[in-house]
Amino acid sequence: MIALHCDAPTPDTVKLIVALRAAALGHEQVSVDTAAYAHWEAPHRALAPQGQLPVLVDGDLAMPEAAFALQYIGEAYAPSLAPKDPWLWYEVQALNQQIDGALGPAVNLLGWTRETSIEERDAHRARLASIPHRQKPAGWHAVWADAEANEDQLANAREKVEGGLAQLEARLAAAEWLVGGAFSLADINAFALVRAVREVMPQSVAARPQLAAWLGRVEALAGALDAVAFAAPA
Amino acid sequence: MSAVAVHSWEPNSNSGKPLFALAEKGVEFDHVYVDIVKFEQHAPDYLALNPAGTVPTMVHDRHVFTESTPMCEYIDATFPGPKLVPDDPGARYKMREWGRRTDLAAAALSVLGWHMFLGPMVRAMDPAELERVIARIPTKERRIAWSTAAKSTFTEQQLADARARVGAYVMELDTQLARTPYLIGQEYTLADTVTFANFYALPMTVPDYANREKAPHYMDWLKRIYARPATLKLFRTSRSLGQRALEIAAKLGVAA
Repeated sequence: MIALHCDAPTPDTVKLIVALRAAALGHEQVSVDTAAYAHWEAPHRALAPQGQLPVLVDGDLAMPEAAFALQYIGEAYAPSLAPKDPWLWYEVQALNQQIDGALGPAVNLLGWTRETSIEERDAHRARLASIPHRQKPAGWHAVWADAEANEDQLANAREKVEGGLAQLEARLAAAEWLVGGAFSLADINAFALVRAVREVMPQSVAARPQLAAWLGRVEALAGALDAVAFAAPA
Repeated sequence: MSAVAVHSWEPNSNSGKPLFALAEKGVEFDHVYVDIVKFEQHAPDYLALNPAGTVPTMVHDRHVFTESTPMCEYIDATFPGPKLVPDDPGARYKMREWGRRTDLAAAALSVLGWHMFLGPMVRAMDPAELERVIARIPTKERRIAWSTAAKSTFTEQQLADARARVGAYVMELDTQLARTPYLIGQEYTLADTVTFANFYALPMTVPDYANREKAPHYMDWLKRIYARPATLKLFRTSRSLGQRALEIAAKLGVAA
């Protein structure tokens, strides 16, 4: 039995659930209490050493990297979602990486800044700082990741989101689905992220007609809406 | 089969990934040299090919590839030669996960690389020329990062953090390589390609961590990969970093 260890319906959780549904795979959902920092306790860290969420577990293989867990579902169980043609598979992998990079951290930053107070964020950082063997953010990110985002950084996040949405809009002006003329892991990945963008920058999604129509197409597919409902907290 | 062109810098970091993968497969290709020390990756001709201004870019069969790790999977799937990607989906997951871990640790390594090599070269540039080349960087985020890095140096604390992060990753690699000769098992895969392309010079960059006493299995793995014909061939023909790499190979006991 496949298990998915997760908490809230974050984009990473939603994309894995949609893919599992699209592959017609049953799975057990294991709830991780992140409010109590259970993802930083030993049982979860045995699956995900850096407290990552969600974690897909298939037999003795724990997969804390959602981007590659998504590819695993396609390659192991749903070949129609993972094109065999090397160029199309490159397109799926590259687009997912670009959309994850453009939308993922930006949506997290904007949502986190909007939904929490400075005091809550300070308390969270203090709690994280006390966790043993936690890797600090590396490289350029280390310069600002542990401090409050300033207006420039928030503006930069919005700009990145606009860039990612424009890239999707341009592709969808030319084709019904993002890669190779068929519904694939690229649509599932982008769907999960664009849904989250709709929460923090609704006008940016609504202003793009191809994107809005494509969202409707993905939602209409069996599994997608169910998956979102399934992932929602009770 | 049509010709392959790779527009990239040295066999180093992202630039090096497709070079190593093509060399391992035994594929002949045109290496179009992009000198990132001169910011050539932001020149108009290059941006026409790759608007993001990142290296490497590969062109094959009318397709343009700009994401370095996925382009290596394409290379493996498209060309004959030894398999670099396992067939089993679980093994593929592990291969990709090691690639991601390496990329994250490489972000810390880039701080040290900037401090030791690129930063001093860039700060020696004429300020007006520096301003001109930074202005043509296509994304705001990267303009800010290059501008900040060009004008300032890292603090001792930031450098110490970066060294510790890279050192911790060497220990992670060593732990895995105590179990298996290559990162995901008995065979060389793209996990090794990606990791070697980023971490082949650690005995020189972070000798306090990358040494035989602290990380013997990592050092043995390094030696195994340096000794591969594809690795030696690439470093022998590289313009600027190859000599340094061959010196490390010699110290490891590889006849360069």
